[in-house]
Amino acid sequence: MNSFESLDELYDYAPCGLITSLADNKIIKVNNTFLEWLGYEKDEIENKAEWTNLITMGGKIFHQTHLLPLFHSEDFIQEINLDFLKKNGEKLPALVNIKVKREKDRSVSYLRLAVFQFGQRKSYESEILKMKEQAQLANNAKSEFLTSMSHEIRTPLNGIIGFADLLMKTNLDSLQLKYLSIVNKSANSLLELVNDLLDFSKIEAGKLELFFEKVDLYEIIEHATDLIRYKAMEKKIEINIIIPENFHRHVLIDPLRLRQILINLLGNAIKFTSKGKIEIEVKTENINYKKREVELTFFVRDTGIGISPENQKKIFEAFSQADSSTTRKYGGTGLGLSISNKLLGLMNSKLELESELEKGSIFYFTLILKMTEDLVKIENPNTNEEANYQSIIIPKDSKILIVDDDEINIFLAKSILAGTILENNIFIATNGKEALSEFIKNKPDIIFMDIQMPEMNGYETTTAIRETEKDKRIPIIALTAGTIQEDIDKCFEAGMDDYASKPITKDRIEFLLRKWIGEASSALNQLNTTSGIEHFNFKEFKNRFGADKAFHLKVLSTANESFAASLKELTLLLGNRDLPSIHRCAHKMKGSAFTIGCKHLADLAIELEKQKEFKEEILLNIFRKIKQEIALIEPLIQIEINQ
Amino acid sequence: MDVLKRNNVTIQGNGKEVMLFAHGYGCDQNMWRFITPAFENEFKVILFDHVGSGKSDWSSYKKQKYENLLGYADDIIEICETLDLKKIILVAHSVSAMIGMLAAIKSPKIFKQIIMIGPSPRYINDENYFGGFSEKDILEMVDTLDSNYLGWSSAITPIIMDNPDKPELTEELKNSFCRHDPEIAKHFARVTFTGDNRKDLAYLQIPTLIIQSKKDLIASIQVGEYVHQHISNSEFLIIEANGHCPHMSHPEETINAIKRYVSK
Repeated sequence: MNSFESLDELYDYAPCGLITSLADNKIIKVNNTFLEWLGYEKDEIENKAEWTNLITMGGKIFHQTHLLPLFHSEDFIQEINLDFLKKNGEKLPALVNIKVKREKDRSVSYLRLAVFQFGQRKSYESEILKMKEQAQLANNAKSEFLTSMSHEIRTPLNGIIGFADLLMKTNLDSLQLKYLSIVNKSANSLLELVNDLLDFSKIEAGKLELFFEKVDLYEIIEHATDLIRYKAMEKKIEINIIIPENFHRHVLIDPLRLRQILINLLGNAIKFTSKGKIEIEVKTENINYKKREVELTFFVRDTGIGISPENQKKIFEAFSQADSSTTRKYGGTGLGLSISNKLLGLMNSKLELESELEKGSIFYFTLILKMTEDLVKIENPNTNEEANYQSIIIPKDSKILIVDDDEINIFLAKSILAGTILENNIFIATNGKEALSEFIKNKPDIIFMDIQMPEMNGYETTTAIRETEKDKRIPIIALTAGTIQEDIDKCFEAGMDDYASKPITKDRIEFLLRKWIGEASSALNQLNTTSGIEHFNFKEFKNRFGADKAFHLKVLSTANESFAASLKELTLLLGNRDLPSIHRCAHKMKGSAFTIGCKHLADLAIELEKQKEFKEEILLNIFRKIKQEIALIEPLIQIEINQ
Repeated sequence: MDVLKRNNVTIQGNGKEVMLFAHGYGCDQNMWRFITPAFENEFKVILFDHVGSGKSDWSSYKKQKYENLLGYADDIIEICETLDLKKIILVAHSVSAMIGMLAAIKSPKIFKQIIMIGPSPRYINDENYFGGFSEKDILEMVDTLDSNYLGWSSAITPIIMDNPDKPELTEELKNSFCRHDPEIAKHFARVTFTGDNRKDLAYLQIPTLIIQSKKDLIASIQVGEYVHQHISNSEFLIIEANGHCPHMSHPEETINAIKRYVSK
């Protein structure tokens, strides 16, 4: 029987530590292996020590806060890393499994612990974690670099496109015009590429958001198809749009992004097809009237070169086309499909592909979209709007301030304005500070403002200008890098009135001048701004509350009291750095201010409500203004009360 | 925003008077499972998970909002406002005792009584104050968290489950007890254990019962007494229990203590 070891021997020398403790963690039995690891004798531990006293303080806290609830709920824990302390003070990293044994009345009779050494694994694990963190950091740095480089590239590119556009409007012979249109086209495709890169890094960083709008799908498909129609004609390729008859075309979607995906797929199709046809089809898979949802599949088919099975997996990855020879032969970044696929990911879908070499490819994706009611067809508001201003004249002696830190952009803007505006009336500022002093010194009629400038950006400069304005609101036009709704919204939020996206064109700038400082509109403008800042509009108040004097008195004194109380509360909340409550307080103030016709106070409250971060200086600044405004309003209200 | 979804609020029980239970650091509302059945006949029992714990909406976690306990206190107030609760009894464990206290200082009308289990206003020792821990201990605890949460982040779970194609298995792992987002758990640990709410105790006016385990490493008797001395309208009760979670390890004793106080 020599070949069998006894149970006792197995217990004592098992290749893991074994401990049994009572409910209060006191150890009643422990094996040799564990004692040897820690350097204790059996009689130092058994019936004396609690196992929780043999682990680090950090482990003890973890045990009390995380493990106890687990014990009591599941009666076991598994693979928990706790560091035991050896008698000599060294740490013994261990993995611990614990099982709870209970009596019939559910009281705990024992805890059984199995302890495994974990030192090498642990250092290996933490090494891997470190490497993962480093890789993450490096990847983030790469994305940031990509973003800032793309921005940098866009600036000179806008110069090229803008001047090419201007130059093309001068007297050129046909050869010059041809060369120039090539310059223009190349620059535009470079811009597209840079925009792709920006999109890509935005998606990577999780910063891309979708903006859902009610749209007519048919229009989006038409528009995307129109863009390749010319190319198709050149290549003698047929284009078909296949849409079912009772197709529900009015849905909620981000039109910009859907268009981007379709343009990308159609662009690929035309690029890789030399004969045959291209089809875009939409199929209704399902309509759920109860949830008002429609499930649609979009197909883009071509009869092009096709993609081999092994390359089909690769093409959705960033920076990879089917093979590197593709790039040489057909150009492109290889980002398009990857971006499309990621955009679809944001819409809970993905791009799918069926393809056969030399026969063609089918790209398709399915979207579940909220249905909307049919829309009244709206003409493109821009063209429509532009037509309205055709007959309006731009006064030649208007004063214009251009704020941009880039010389080429300034030169471009100046060149566009030349002939329309007297040169002496064009003022230049290359940063926010200069803009502010130019604004005060020269009192321009309109300002064109770049957004991205060092130190004070366009938003901040606008806000600063709005603060110094007294009797008249000067139109400020943003010069934005893109047409992303988010950016445009930000411009309006900052107090700008309109925008022109770069590269700026003569048409757009002239339209904006007509719209904002044209002769016919300036009279209107003055009417609107004569009243200046509205501190307290008693007329509006009376309109809202009728003629009952007693009631006026009540509402006004309540308002006065509530402003004073809010002011006190704000002081306290600012001290506590309690942003959510500051928001609540500002919201309340906004409501009361609006109700009684204190528009400027309401605006300040809105500004306070908008602060997303606790930036003391900004908040204090707004707070001071609110305080001043209330000090100003109070006597005004008091006058009405006394009457 | 749906507050009730954000905090995974669940409502049970038949009574009219409301008892709101707030779980402590390291777990979720499940930790009340041995206690709540004793109150469901007489009270409306409301449970919730702090954002970042259990089945709360982890994506609602904003580092800035939860930079101190006030963010959590606002959540409690918002839950009560959403459900239009007034004069409730709040039962709060561990760090939630301080969170509940802040909520009650801010909106006293909501609360009738507060029952604190194992409260501590400050965990780190001070010159003249014994909290029980040094800063090093807290760092060590975060390390332990780090090495034990390795497998629990939602990004990694499918990988370690080795079943990326079977989301239901992953779901099961996520659903089981006391899950947290590891990054949130670390931040919450820092906010909890490095905070200092000693000065706030004096502002609490709501009648308060402090339930203290006889032996509690996280919040010792000494700490419990300190809380009692600084809350004017408070009672201090030491129960025969061992450990920081008497409501789990000694539910009977805890239930009796709560019942005695609320029926007064």
